[in-house]
Amino acid sequence: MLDFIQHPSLSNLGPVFKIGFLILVALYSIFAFMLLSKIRSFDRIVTFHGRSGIAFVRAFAYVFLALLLFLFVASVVIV
Amino acid sequence: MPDIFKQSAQNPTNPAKSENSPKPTSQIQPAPKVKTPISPPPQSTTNQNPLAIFTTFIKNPSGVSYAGQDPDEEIALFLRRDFGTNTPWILSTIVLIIIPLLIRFIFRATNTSFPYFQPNFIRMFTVFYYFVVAGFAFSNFLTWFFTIGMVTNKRALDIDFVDISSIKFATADLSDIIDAKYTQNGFGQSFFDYGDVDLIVQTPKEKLSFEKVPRPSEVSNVIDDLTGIKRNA
Repeated sequence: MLDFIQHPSLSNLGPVFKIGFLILVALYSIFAFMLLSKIRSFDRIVTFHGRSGIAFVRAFAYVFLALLLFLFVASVVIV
Repeated sequence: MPDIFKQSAQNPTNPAKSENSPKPTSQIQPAPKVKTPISPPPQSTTNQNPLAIFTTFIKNPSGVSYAGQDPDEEIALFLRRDFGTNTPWILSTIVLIIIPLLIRFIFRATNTSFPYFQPNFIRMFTVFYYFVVAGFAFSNFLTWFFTIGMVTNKRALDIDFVDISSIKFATADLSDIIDAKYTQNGFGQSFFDYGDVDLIVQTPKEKLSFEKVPRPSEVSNVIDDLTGIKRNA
């Protein structure tokens, strides 16, 4: 059923997929950075204090961006 | 008309005529620079309720302030879209999480493999895929979290976190609000008690609406009460 995946003509596409993957990760890192900057810009309009969940949101955004950058570096090294 | 003679007697404008007032100095001293916060949260006299991460409807919230808030301005109502409106993206996220597991199951069941990709590449791609899913869920969560409506004792604010590239911020003074109407469309909105609250503002071009907020009738009543108090004042 899935024999088409193993077709020999696909062997040439390996490097293309790898380069495409690296570009995708880089672009997605930019998306994560935009998300973080959006949170920071929103902080200038509305300020949440205490247990409003903003600390969790900020922490998640920073960790997400950091992990994504780590993934990009790891992809360059491993892939 | 203010009594200017009485005022001048109480607050003498000419310090030279007053015996107790300090002598005027020839040099004009600059005002000391005091670093003040941009928008300090006002001290409220009413009972306040703490704002939590999943709060969608709260009266007199504590823990939130906005840029340009007056010192005597108190937030009477804080609104977010009803949590039930998050169901579509939560379900989509669950499906997206399951898809790779399903593909893996199919490949194992049919005994098929990717011969031209190294296992490391497939692993990295899978990790990246889950990052994309996490980003999708997080951006949707942020859209819900930051799309808020607030009603203070002076104005109504509608802040829309439209997508990743734009924030829409609209305000209207309570004295400009003529009426607050609400609509509940469909079975879901009636059953879970949420709907749209439209604020009719005197300026024709301006429109303020709190979309899919919980307890729209109560929201409408609170706004009507506040606008009534403002008009009477």
